[in-house]
Amino acid sequence: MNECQFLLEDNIKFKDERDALTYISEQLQQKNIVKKSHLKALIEREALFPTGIALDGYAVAIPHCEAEHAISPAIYIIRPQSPVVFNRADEDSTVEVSLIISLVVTSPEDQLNLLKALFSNLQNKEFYHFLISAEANEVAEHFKKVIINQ
Amino acid sequence: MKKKIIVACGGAVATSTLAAEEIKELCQENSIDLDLVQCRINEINTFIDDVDLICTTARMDQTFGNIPIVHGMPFVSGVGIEQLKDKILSILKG
Repeated sequence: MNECQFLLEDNIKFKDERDALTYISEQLQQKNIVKKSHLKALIEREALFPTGIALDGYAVAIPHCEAEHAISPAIYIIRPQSPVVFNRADEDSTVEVSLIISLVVTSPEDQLNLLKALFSNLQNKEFYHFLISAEANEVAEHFKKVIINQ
Repeated sequence: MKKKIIVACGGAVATSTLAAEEIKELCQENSIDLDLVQCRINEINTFIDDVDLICTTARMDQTFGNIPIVHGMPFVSGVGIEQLKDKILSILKG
């Protein structure tokens, strides 16, 4: 199994959710992490099954799509210049997110521990605040330690 | 008696994987014999026979007769997780 790559980008300006998804997919395609079909799948998936998640007093979005569009596993974090509105996964409303975590999953079973670690840490407010406020290299280092190579 | 649970989300990739894992642990702790199916929401009908509970992590407007449906998002967000576990247990033990 390929090791999960970690990518992080700061200060990207997005018009809206679709703009963000397009950017994410284009970047992932350039890095050969996803296939060309990923863009359409990601946008359709987000429209049908949104990925905005309201946590306790804050929110994140975890755009992702089916494994068949992925080439190798990755976690791609984007800290946009200003919050982006995403639809909520569990109800008919929206959330503004300052943290987008796009997941490229190639095998849900193999990445179960990673997903578990990611979500249990995200439930921790301090972890979230660290992710949105720390320097990019610190975030990368910490994230790799607690999520990817736990 | 074995309980059959369907855990469904949009793509059976991330959130339902997590919810499925939590339900497995919950049933293990409570000695409930479990038959768990993880699928996409649009595949639920394929697995619907003898189902005791459906858990979804996405919005779903559909219903399936009188099979109980619970929202599994608390397993992902942590908000309301204890209430959800109680609800699942009361349905399975009821």
